[in-house]
Amino acid sequence: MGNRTKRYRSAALAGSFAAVLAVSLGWAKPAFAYIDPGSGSMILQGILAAVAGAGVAIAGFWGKIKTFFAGRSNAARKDDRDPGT
Amino acid sequence: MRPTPLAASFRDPSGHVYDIDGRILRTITERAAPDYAFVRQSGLFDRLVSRGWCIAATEVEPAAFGLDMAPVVRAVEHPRLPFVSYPYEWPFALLKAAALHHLDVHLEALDAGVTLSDASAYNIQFIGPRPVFIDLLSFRRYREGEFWLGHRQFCEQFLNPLLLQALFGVPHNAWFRGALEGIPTPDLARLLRWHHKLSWRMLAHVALPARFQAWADARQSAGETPGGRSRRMPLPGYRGMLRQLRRWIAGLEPAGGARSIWEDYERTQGYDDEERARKTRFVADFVSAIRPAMLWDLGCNAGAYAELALQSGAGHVVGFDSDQGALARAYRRALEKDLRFLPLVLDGANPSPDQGWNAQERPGLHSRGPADAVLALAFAHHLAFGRNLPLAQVVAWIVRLAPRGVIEFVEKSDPTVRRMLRLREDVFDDYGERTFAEALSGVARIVRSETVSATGRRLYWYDRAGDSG
Repeated sequence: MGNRTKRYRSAALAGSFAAVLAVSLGWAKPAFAYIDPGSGSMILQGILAAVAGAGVAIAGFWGKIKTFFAGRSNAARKDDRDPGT
Repeated sequence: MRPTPLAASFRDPSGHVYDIDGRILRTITERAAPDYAFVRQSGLFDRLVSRGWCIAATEVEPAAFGLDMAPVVRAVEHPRLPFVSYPYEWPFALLKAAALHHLDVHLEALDAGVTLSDASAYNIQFIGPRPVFIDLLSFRRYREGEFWLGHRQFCEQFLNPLLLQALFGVPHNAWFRGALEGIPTPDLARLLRWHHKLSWRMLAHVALPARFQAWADARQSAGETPGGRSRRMPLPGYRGMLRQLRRWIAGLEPAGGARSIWEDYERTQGYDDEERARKTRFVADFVSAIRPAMLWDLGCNAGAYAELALQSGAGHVVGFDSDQGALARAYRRALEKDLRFLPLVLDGANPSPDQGWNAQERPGLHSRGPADAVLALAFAHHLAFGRNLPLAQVVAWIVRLAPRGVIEFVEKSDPTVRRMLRLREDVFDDYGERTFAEALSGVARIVRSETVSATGRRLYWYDRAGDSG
């Protein structure tokens, strides 16, 4: 039971965190919707979009770091191989 | 005079559906034409049609059908469906198949740069047990970064009704029939217990959207307008939502296994082999003589006689039963044997009514008939004893559903009836074969009848063709 309560607490915590995110982020007014997409779903997707966007940004940033170092080492190797150019 | 669209075709301004002399036509308006052209050119549509995922649509000249009124710019013709059914008539397995089909179509569409503008369960129909997507104009060009606008509708019309049965063992049919747009997310969220919310999926698709909606409604009624910030959903995130729902729904099963007293009925009922052979021969003779394009099987149980009817020359069979367990077996049979058999939920004492907007949007069972033939085997006594319906009325109702049919009469002394009456007083003085035969010959001609069991079960083949009624 203790374990369950703990899991519940963490789920509730995640819920509150998401709610705070929702309040701070807002969501886009959807164009092209002939049905009402519902504010609940739009806020949820606003959060998912923010999380996914952050994921993409982090991945991009990580990629840049990798390229930076890989680029340097490649350049260094290239220099070693062909010092003349 | 201009044709009028079907009563259910009013929501989407992209076009409307017409039934003109039995041909199903769909108009495409000016505003939808660019998206329609894009979807056609993407090759997606042809691919879905060739796989049987989507109903065919052949371009026709709007003027040829009197549909050349502004803002209509194009028209297509669809093949006519053998039967139109609604999500509140689908047993769990069919609603689940429809949900998975919707997600599969959407995922396939996204790969082609196309998305779906809605997620209505009414856009899925069944040909036999196979789901088919019928709304051509739901497809439109995907715009980079857009949200899934049909998410709420998908949850209310597919996910929530499935969860009702998967979490609580409560079939969705009665609720869905009363609320044609499905089960509202805030209503389902109210039923969830705390341990349900430990699942991320339940939080994401039920509990949080309900909470957010309440929050936004409160802000709105306080005069604020929440939202407005522009966000973009990366395509992998969009696909991720669809895939997550697909995995979740694929694993859902009815709680409690939907077993029932009638699930083993076909194995335990009171027929020996010879009697069963007699009944089989009678039904096969009837169907092969009539060769109905559409046969309705009332009280279809697990579909043994539906299968027999198809083997005997019926084009399509729609089976009706009120028992979810039997229907689950019927669906498995249809799928495994690839039968043109669609098993649906029906309470004979309360068949689907004409309902929805203007009481016409979703036609009731009677409005979708008559069928070419009907089977009512071991059915009438359930209404007579189980629902206290006068036998003559039951017979007249069955005959109204189709011009020709076979109805089985079951004696009061039959073990099944004795079991139904074991806790009740026998108030059915009028119930008997004479009442049955008189009622039937009052509304139709009895072509043939035969006693098929030692307990006195008797089959009646009737024909009212040529009569006015």
